[in-house]
Amino acid sequence: MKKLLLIAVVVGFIAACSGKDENHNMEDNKMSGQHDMMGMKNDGVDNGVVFREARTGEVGKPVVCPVMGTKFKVKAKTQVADYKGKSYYFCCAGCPGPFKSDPEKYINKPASMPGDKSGMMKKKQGMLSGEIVDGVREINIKAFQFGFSPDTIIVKKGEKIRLKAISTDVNHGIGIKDYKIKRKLPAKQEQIIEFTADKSGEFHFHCSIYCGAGHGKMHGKMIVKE
Amino acid sequence: MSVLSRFYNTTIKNQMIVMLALLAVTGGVQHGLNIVIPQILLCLFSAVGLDFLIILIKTKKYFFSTSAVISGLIIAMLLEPGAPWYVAVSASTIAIFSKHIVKINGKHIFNPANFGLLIVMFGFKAYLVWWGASINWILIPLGLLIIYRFKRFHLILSYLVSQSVLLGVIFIFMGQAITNALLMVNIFFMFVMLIEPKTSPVTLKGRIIYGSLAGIFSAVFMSIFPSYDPSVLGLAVANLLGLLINKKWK
Repeated sequence: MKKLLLIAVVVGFIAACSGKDENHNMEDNKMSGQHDMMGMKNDGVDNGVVFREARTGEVGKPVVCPVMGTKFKVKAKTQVADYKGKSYYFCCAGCPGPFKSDPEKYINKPASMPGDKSGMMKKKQGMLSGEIVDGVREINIKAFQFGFSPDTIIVKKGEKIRLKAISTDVNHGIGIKDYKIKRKLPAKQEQIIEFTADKSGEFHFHCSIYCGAGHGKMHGKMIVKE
Repeated sequence: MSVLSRFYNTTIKNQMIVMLALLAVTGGVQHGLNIVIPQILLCLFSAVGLDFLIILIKTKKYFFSTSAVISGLIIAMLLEPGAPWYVAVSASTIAIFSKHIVKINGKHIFNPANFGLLIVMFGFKAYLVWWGASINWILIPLGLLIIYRFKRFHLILSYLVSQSVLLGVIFIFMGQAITNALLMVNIFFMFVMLIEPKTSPVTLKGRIIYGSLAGIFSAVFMSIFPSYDPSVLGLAVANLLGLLINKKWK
């Protein structure tokens, strides 16, 4: 009886631990399926960009989303844009839209790689996250079980920051203690968090709402440069 | 005797301390040792020091309690890294006071660490990050060993099933992926906090009901008060109901 219980618990844990990626993949696939509804029809030409789904030979290829900067592996349902002889792969349903409206901005701007998991690439290059819109640095950030993408954001001291944060699965939160920011991120609803980066240094941010077994892993870093 | 067999044969409390220490070190490396070490020391000194003083006053004996070490470590690892010193000290001292004061029939009602965290969560709006509680490759094998020695499989299983099933149903209604419900299980809570012997019921049936209630309340709080830690709230309610469970199923 004890052995049976032990096996049941172990199987449950393994399922819980491995469920993370599967879950995220499901989310991505689900979102990819929404592209049509968003006007991102497959094999359509928009602004010189040809949208399509990934080809068999592309599945499994490690890529970086040009919009979010998220590193991921291409799946069968990943949305792809062919533009000026090059293919660009999108991590989720929200990315083809901005790319379609201004592809040049994303292909010419390596700074739009905030999803670099370690943040090392940006750190080395000293690049700032996001982009300036109406005098405000706008940064897209995704929260998911269990992490943030990007997990490192770099801004300049004195800048006004607008974090456009969205949770792609369950309820999450974002807390940056030193900036007295604590905001709930309800599932799939974008939240705008605005503040001025008036203190320089490295500031950790965490998920402020319990979101599961990997809750403690959900943290990131905001670097405010002088 | 090898280190492993010494570890296996030591007391459950010592095993728990070893597991918590490993989690603290590994979690500390991820979150910054310079930030978490002062917090751990502060919580440990507050909890162990106060417990030592209270025991000295009550019994005139010098005694360092391992349960105070466990409480201090739990509090340090759940509070956000770099939490204000007064939050860490308050949570630890409230935990120890609750252990010695909030008692019925010689047994404390609330899990001490959980009670301390509950009070600072509301009193100081402290939020719990569980930074040391997500390293599953340490937590699962050592936690299972402790549960095996402690004979509390039925308790954690009832918690696991009740929370996952209820959350699964809630997630279906909310249009979320049902697999997320299984990911919501708090492994650290289950292996470390839920099984606390003094606050969990004495009978097998009582423990199954207790575990189920903790799971159900955690799932409910997760859905209606997501800003407050659902596991801590759920355990506090289960601790209170544990009194009734102990009366009904002696």
